[in-house]
Amino acid sequence: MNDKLKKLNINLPPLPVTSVGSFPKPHYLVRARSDFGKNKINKKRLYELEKKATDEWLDYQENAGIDILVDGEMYRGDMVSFFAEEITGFNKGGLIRSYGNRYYYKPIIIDRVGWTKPITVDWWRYCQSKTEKPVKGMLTGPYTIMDWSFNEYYPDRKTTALTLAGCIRKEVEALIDAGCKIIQIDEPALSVRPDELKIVIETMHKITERQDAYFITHICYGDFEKIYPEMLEISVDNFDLEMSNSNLDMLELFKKYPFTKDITFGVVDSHNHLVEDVKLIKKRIKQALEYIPKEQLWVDPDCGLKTRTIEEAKAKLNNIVTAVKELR
Amino acid sequence: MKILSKNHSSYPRIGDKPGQQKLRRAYNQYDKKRISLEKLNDILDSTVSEIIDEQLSCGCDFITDGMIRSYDPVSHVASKIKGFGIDGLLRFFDTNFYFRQPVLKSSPRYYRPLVVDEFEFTKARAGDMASVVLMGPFSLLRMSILRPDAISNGTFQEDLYMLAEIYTHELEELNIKGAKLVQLEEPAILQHPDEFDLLKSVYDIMLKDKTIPETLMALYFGNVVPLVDKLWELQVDGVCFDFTYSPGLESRLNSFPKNVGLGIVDGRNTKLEDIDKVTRFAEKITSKISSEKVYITSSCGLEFLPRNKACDKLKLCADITRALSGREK
Repeated sequence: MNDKLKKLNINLPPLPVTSVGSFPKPHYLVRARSDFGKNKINKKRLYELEKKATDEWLDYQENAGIDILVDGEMYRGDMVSFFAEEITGFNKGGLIRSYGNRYYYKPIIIDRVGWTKPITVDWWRYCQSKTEKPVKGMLTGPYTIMDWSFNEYYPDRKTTALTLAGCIRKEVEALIDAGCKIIQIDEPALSVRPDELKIVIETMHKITERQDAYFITHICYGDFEKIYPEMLEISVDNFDLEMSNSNLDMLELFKKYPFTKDITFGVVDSHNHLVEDVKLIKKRIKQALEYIPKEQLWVDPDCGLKTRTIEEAKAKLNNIVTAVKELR
Repeated sequence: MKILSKNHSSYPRIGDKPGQQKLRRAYNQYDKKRISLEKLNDILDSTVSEIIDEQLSCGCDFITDGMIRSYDPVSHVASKIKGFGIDGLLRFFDTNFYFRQPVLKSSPRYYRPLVVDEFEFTKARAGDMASVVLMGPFSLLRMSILRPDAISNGTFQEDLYMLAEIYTHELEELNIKGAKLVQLEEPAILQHPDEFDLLKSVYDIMLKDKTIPETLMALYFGNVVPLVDKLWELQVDGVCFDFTYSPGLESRLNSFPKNVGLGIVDGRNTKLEDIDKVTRFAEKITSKISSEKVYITSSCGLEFLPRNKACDKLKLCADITRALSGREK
C-alpha cells in the first residue's frame, strides 16, 4: 500500500473500490430543489431532505462493500457553480448546455475571488461521523473552476487559476483540520489544453504543498495522449481517470511510459444506461493489472454517476464490487 | 465592400426565463414517454421559429436555425451517413460541451439528406437571410473513431474522399432548395495543420462544380495564423476567423482576397466588448483586405453563452456592422 496511506493510518483492502463523487438525486430531492428555487419550501426543509438523501447513499455504499465513501453531492448542483456560490467574486450566470439535454449554470467572475468560510467541511464531518470507512473530501480544482466560468474580471487565465488555488488551499486546510485524510481535487478541464498543463501543475502544487493528506485528482473526457506522461508531475498521489468510455486506450500509453502513481481506474461508463456485467468489469481490471501493479490500483466508475438513474448507478457499483471481490 | 452581420452558427436553445425552457422540458417528457415524437417535433419547430425571430430582432443580416435540432454538431451529421455508428461522449475541443463520438465502421455512403430538411424550415421563415451550417467532412472524420485500418492502409484519405462525394450531393440539394450561404465548419484542421493539403484537395473535389452561391469555411478554437497564407488557395468563397485564438491575425490578412467572417466578438465569454474599440479593430482590418463581403460575427457559435448574453452579442455584431457601413438602425 502507498506509504502515505500507511502514514495516515488508512488501511485499505487490495483494489480499493470508490466512486468519483456524485450520485443521482432521489425524486423527492429533485422536486425539493425545484420547489426551493420557486420559494415553495425553505432552506431548512431542503437541508433535511439533502441529509436524508445523503444518509441513504452512505448506507448504500457501506452495505454494498465500497471501501472509500463519498457524500454523493446531494447538496450540490453543478461541480463548479456549487463552489462559485460560496467563493466571493462570482455571480450565478446562466444556463449552458453540457451535452444532450443536460444544462448547468456557468458562473461569471465579476470581482476579486476570495475564500471566507469552509464550504464542504460540515458535510464531510457529518458523513464521516456516520461510518468507520474513510470518506473523501471532494473539491473542484481551481483550473476547472476558472475554465468553466466566464471571466469578466481577471486579465488572464493563469492569474485567475492561481488566485482560485489560494481559495481551494484554504478549503483543503479546513478539511484537514476537521480530520479528513483523503482529498480529491477534480480537474476534468485539464486534459483539453495541453499547453496549460503547467498551470495545473503550479496550482496543484500551491494547494497540496506541505499538506498532510492523500490527494487524488479526477480527470476525464479529454485527449490524454497530449498530457501524458507530463501530467504525472501534478502533485497528487492518485489519478482518478475515465478509462472505459475511451475503450481503455490509455493503457497503450502506459505501455510506453509506466504509470508511476496510484490510479483509480474507471471500469464502467458513467454516461451510458447500459449496466456493464461483472465479467466485462473483471476483464477491464485484468487488463489494467497488466500495466499497473496491484498495490497501485483502485477501481471506480469513469465519472460521477449523477446522470444515471438510482437503479443504474447502484447496479453499476454493485457489479464493480462483485468483480473486485472475485479478483482480490 | 459589403459589410453584413451574421450569426456564426449555434444559438442557446433554452434561456433562464420559464418560457424559454420548453424544449428542455419536452425532451424530459419524451424520455419518460409522456409525449410523442410528433409532439416533440412540434416543440422543436416552435423553438427554432423563436430562435429565428430572436436573431432577426437582434438585427442580423444572416441567421441560422441555431443548430437547435442537433444533439451535437458532430454526431448529428454522422448519424445521417451510412457507415457511421455513434459511440461515447468526448469533449468538444477545449469547451465543457460534449459530443457523441462517431465511429466509422465501413466506407461512408449517402443515405439521407444531412441538413436539407432543416434548411427548408429555416428558409420558409427567414427567406434569403437563412444560412446553413454544417460540420465539414475533414473535421467530422477527424473527430470520429476511425476504422482499424484507417492509418495502416490509408483509408482515412479514401474515406474522406467518399465523404466529399456525400457533401457534394448535399450542397447540390441545398442549392436546389435555394440556399445562398453555406458555412462548413472545419475547426479540426487547426489541430492538424499538417493535413491542410488533404483538406484542400477534398474541398477541390466538393466545390469543383460549385452550385451554392456562397460557401464559407469556419475555423475556430485554435490559432489560424500558421495557415493564413494557405487559405488563399481554398475553393471556398470565404473564411470565418476566430480572433480570440489567433493573436496577430489582423496583421496577416493584408490583401486577403476572399470574403471574411470577422469573429471579433468573443463567443466564449460573457463580457461584452466595448463597441468603439472593437469597431476600430474591425475598421483596421477592413481597410487592408480585398474582400467583396465582410461578415461581422462571433468567434464561434453562441451556444456557449447564456441566452441573454448571446442575444447581447448578436446585437453588438449588428451595431458594429451599422457603425462600419454607416447604416441606420
